[in-house]
Amino acid sequence: MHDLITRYVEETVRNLPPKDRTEVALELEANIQDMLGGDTSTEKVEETLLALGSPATLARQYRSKERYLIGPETFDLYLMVLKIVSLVVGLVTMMITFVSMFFASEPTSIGLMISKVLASVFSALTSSFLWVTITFAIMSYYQVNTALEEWDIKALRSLEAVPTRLIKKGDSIGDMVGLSIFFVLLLVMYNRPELIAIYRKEAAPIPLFIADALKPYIIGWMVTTILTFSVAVMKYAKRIWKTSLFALSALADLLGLCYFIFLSTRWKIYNPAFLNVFPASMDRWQIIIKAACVVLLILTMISLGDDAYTVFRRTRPNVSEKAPAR
Amino acid sequence: MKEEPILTNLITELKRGTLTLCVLSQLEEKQYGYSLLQVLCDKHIAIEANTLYPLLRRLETQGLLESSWDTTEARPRKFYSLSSKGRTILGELASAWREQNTHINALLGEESYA
Repeated sequence: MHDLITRYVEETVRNLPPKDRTEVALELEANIQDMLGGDTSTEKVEETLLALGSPATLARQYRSKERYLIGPETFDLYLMVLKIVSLVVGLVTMMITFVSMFFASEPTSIGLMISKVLASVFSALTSSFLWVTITFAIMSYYQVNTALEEWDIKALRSLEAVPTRLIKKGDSIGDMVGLSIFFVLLLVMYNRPELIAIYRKEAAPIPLFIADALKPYIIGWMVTTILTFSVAVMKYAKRIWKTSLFALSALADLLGLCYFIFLSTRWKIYNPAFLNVFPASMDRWQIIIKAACVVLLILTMISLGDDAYTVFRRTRPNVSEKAPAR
Repeated sequence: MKEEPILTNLITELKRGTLTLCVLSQLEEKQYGYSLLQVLCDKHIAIEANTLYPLLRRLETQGLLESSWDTTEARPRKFYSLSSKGRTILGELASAWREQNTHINALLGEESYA
């Protein structure tokens, strides 16, 4: 058989799933031979293969399913998350780089400072782009459903009837931005816990936490933050309060709160040297922390109560289900 | 002329939808890829080889066609013919086509394009 045909066929089936390759190769070869009609001159072979088009196009036809890194149904969400993450990561990295330069021991020039900031912002943006893209590519590959719920006229009617149940777009985006900033702070706390400290002139800074004791708890906090973040994404996607969504959101909030209370009352994570700076003793410190927890608890309850009022009191199913007058 | 590529595109789209119907209609008798290409070409249905071969395979995986390898000739060939499911689908597709045709003809008749 002509060398060109062999190469053409191989190049085509290379892009197909392994189980189809042998069969398609045999069939395609036979078809090409038929098209040649016995004339195996190089000119005729070239003409026939040109008529068949590029192996890549042919393989695409055989696959029949388009391949995407990120499918069209996920793309809008991808773009939105990418924008938010880039904004947050960019700003936070910039801030952190600036702040860390002020505490650096060796003096630096303005030019060096700017280039240092630009470099770290660039590398942070590149890696956030990479990670967001990889996450969404995996979601696309396993066809995770990110679409809104099946849209029907009932949804439209309940939208008209109870506009107050709408979740404001800005609120969910605000949540996402806030949580992303918080997550980056957690990352910093995990990697450089000693940065949170009292800085004094002519003395070494006194860190607030004991790094080794704190680290394992931070991971748990990251997990609860990611959970709350997912709920915020869900709120953004669904746009309207439902009982199940409220339950999920409340659960995430309470979990976050409980974790905070749990973490802040692990007394071994605080650096005794830090506490000694203030005239307050450990007992006093514990009272302050506990009071803070109570305040946080009350605030969470108020916010949950507000959401619950929106979800339960303002739902008027009778209005939303009534058929329109004809 | 600006209109030309638009027209070509529209005609291609128009034809693409009917290809399956054309292919199924000629597979009562078993055919291999190239012979089917010629049968269709003789009946003025122009279909590219690189469209037809993958289409046959797709229809087979959908269960509309059956295939068998003929190894008696010098070259082995893969023959396709309608499966019973394919025959049913062809019948329904054909009647859908005729119905659509009637309606469209009526539309065109109103404006005396026909």
